[in-house]
Amino acid sequence: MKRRIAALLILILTILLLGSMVYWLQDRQISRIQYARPLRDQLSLPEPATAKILALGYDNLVASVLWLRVIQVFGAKLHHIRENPRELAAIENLFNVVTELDPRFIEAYKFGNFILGDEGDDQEAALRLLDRGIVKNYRRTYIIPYEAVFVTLMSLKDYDRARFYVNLAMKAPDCPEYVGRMLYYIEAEKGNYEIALERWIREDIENFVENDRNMITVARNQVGNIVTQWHTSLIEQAMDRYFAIHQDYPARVEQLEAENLFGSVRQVDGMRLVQLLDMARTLCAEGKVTVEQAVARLLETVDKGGAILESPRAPRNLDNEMYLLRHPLPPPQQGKPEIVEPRNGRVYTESDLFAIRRRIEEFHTQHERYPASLRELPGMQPAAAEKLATADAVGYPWLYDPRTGKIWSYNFPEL
Amino acid sequence: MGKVWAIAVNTFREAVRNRILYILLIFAIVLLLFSGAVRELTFSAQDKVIKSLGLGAISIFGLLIAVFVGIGLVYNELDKKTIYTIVSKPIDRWQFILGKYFGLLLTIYVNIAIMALFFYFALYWQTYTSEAALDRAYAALPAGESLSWLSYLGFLGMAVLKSSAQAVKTFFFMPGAVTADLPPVVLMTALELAIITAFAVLYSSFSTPTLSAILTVFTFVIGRTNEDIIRYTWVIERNGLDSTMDVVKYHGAQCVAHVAPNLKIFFSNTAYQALSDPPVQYDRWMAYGVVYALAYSGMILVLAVLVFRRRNFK
Amino acid sequence: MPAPSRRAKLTETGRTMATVVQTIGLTKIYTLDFLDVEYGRIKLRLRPSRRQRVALKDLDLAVEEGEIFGLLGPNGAGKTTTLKLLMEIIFPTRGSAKILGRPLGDKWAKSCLGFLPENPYFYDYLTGREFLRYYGQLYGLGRRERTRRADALLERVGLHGAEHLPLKGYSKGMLQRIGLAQALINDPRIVILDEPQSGLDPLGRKEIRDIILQLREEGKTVFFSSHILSDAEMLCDRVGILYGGELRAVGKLSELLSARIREYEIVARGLPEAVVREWQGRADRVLADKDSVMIIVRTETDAREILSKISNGATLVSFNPRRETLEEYFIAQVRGGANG
Repeated sequence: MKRRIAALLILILTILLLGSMVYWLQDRQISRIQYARPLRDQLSLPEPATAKILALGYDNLVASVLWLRVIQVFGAKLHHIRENPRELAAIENLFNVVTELDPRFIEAYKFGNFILGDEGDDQEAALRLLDRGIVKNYRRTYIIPYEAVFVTLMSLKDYDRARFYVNLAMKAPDCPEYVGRMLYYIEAEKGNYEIALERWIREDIENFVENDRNMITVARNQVGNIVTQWHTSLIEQAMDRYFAIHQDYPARVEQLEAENLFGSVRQVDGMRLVQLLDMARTLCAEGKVTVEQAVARLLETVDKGGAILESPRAPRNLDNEMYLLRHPLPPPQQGKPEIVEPRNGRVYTESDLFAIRRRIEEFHTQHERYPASLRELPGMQPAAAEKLATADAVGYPWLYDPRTGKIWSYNFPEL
Repeated sequence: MGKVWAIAVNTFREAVRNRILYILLIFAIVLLLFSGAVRELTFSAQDKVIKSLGLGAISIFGLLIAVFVGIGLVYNELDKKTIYTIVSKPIDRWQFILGKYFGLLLTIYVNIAIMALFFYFALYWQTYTSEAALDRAYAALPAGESLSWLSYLGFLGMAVLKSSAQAVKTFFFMPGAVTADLPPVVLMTALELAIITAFAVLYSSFSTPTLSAILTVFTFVIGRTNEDIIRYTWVIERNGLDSTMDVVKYHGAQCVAHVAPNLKIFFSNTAYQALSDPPVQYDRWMAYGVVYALAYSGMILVLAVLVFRRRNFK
Repeated sequence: MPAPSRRAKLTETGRTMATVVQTIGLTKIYTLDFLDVEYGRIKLRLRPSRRQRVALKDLDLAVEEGEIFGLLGPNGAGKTTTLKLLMEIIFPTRGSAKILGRPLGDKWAKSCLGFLPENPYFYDYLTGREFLRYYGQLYGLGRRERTRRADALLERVGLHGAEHLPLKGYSKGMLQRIGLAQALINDPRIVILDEPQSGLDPLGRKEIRDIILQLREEGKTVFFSSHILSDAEMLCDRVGILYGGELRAVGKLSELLSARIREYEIVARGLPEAVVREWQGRADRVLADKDSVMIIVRTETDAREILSKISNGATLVSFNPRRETLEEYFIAQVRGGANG
């Protein structure tokens, strides 16, 4: 009897010992993979043709499973994929596999275009993917060529290609009429931002009506993006004109205004746009107004009380509500001299960064190296004639990397 | 023929009392009922993902049942010598083989039917208990009345009834909008399994369960990749049949591809891709599939009967 | 095709003498593999003659209707092979057999047969009742008929309470009984049993004996194989002795065993010492107990002499003239076969 109990105790002890060992080892493994980048295991997919054979006829199933993984992996913003061409090639292969297994999976083409084009900054890869989609779905749907139109128009600015894709889109039986209007805009070669704005506004309203939750935030963010890009381009154009006159860039937007370099500007009243968008969504969801009517109304100009204004003044309200939602600004530090209202901070920061970067380039050309710290730059000395800003508009000091000479602001990382 | 049916019913009874069937079935049902959880994982194309997951699960589980139950089907009778008393009865050996086959097929089809019904139910359940449906139910309440547990239960009960009714209707090839293209795919899965089951019975009649399992799975893989083998031979041909190795490879692969079944017939691309997009016409494709399944499985069964006829039992 | 006439021949006993089971030169030769691994040794069989194992050689046998025929022989003699050949479980290398005048495999003939294999193993998952009804279905019986017969047979073989238990839970004796039941489900004319008493306890063996005798009363033919000679001696009308795949002897017991009395076994009590001592030298064997003594002598004269000695004071306990037993005959045949 004693021996039996002893044997039992020994066995239990052994299990506990081995179990804790296993647990500890597993824990280590988990902590090891915690800091690994999530893309690693997705990147070793075979070629599309091989994958199709390996799927053993369960093409649709494998495509769905891969798609779920794709969503999981790309749910977070991954800027770093831009920097690594090998990863980019692997991501392109991933989308190629998914679309090879299920060629009619429209969402995959759209999302692939988004990841490769917008996130990965490789428009040609995005277009390759979209071309595959067009070939496999020739004349079946307008959606894929329509995506390609935007890629060629916004990022590549290749108007002939854009026109080609518009014509392809129009061949599809379900093509809506506004696609035809793109041709007009391309011909006019103006109003890029307006088209993009129209598209994302439409997406925003449609997604709300169809209750596609995740796309709603994406669309709303894109609307904010387009607005700020539009306004930025207006300021850039005015700055170019200033430079052409003065051979130098201004330090403040007021200088541009003073010299009336904006011409007749079209700008977006962000606050009003948001209000109108929300109202449009609700009205469309209730069916009182069609999406077409809502979008048309939103794009009307000031004389009819819309959100897009003709105005000779520089865009002021860049930091509209949507922008604020994305980047809640921290409170500015005390005792700093250059504290300005956050709403204008972006413009100021941008122009400051222009000037500092120009100075860094000059320094690099002169001394064959980047300055070890910003104080080496002439404009940063306290007694300099033309002072450069030492901190961004909100009051945070610049973030500077002496090895690469890159400088950016903590609060406006995209500048 | 009544004797074939007697053996078939008995085989069905044996399979049903085999515990592995329950494990597989319960697993499949749980998977199908919770396919809705997939909604949380993807932000779009949810319908397509859920449908392809469900159909894939039905196909795979049908295959698993065919393999797990089929490999021991004839072998166990020989090994445990229960065949002695069967053969001594006034019954032909071919009736025995056929009875076993139809019994297994019946088991598989009943399982597929159950899985399909649960799957259709789950799909319709998603629709009838979605947020939109709940909102509509709210709206339908008389003004001023708030939601009580009872009315919520009533809502759920209605959803159960409606989902079940729609599931049964879909099963009898009268699908609604939610399950529009699914019945033909399920039918094609069932036909494909008829062929695989015939192979399982054939292998079971002369080899041990393990070997039968390997052979059946191998046959399945070859069947599914049949078209790729043919394409491979075309590539060899295009590159020129220079060396003897090439000639051997070419003819060998051609032989294999023509002898083995082509299971891709049951997966006409147009039909499967219909899950993403508007449906296509199925009639000719289904007719082709039915004829092929009948012909091929008939051939394999005849082969099994031939092998089994003059076999000396230990 | 109409059934062949039962009344083929009449004998003195008035019973029909049709041959129900007949084998003609039935032979079964197994071909062994080239290579065999046995007990860690590899056996190579290159010569064709060494690759053959003769299980049964030129068996000519005829079983008459209404009799109990026992096929006897040691293990490995070919008894089970014979029965399997008759049931078409295996196929003969040469020769043929006929059942009820029809060749093997004839369905009508099979429907008049009942078969119980050795160490039967049936479907675990069926209950006794389901099992019998399933087999009834295989004979083509209608539903009501097979239910009725199933219940009747369960009663007859003594499994009345166990019909709803799955066969998995049956003991060996119960399995044997349900096996017998399935052999009788179609009310066959011929019942073929392979070692029906193997592994049973004495009570079970007696039950089987009783049932076999009952079957003969019902006019059925019983053809069984066994190596339990005592039961065979009690039951069989005719026996066949199989050894090494060959039929050594066949015929009625009374014809096979010589009627000659081989020895006399006398047990007496109270015999005087002198007599016992005298006979210890003369007799075949003398076994002395506390009070009784057994003397075994060969000739009748010796026996008479001993009996006369018992007259005064001693009591005769038993007097047993023994003829040749089946066992002795059997061993002689087998030994003879081994030597010859």
